[in-house]
Amino acid sequence: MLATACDRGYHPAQIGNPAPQFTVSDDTRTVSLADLRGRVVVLNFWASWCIPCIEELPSLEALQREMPQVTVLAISSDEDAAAYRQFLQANQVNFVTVRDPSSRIQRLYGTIKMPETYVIDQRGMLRRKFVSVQNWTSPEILDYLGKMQRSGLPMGAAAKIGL
Amino acid sequence: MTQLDVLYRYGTSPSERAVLALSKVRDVYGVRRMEIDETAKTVLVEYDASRLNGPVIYQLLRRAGLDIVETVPMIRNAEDLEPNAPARSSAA
Repeated sequence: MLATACDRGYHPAQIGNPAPQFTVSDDTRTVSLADLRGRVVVLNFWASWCIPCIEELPSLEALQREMPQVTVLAISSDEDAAAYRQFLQANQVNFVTVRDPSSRIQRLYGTIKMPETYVIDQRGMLRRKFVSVQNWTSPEILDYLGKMQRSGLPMGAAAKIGL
Repeated sequence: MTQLDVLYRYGTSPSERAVLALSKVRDVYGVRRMEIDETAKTVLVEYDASRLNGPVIYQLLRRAGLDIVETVPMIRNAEDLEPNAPARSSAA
């Protein structure tokens, strides 16, 4: 059921534009997208009741392990705080996830179905939108994110690692 | 895209909370349509088989709180499978 296609269909105008800024807080953490400027961000919208979203989580975890320089940020629309906490306790995810029960951030990005994921570059620009379940460690996606990561490095840093 | 339908019969009528949760099932990629028939106590889900499968649909409904008791066969009569069987009138 994994797919590697990219669908920009719903909001093509978003791509290439600045990613909508947000700050989200739940009872465990506060995350601001602005604080992640300078890093490639993989912004995933999910919920613990969404079976396809859960199927995608191991792939996102693998991506976070393989590319620690990329930030995987997952926004859950779970309304049930207890179910969300229980899921996270039972499944130790290695990336940042924050609960947004109002789905405010989902709406900000125009996301109406799940799972859906956006790639945001180091300058805070929306570069790509992925719909449905993806294989985040496919060679194509790793290559894509790797190139973006390298191309966004400051000149000095790029020179130091021979790019 | 391959569209498939699956029909489930439920036992206990869904609570208000379950109905709200069921409405969210439509937000999952691949779920095309969902219809609840309160009289027949069935829920029909039309889904994209390239994204989802029957067990996933079942789990989505169960997690929403629907008391599923059985899957209802969509083809009821053997003659429905016969391509050359005479068409039955649908008129009452």
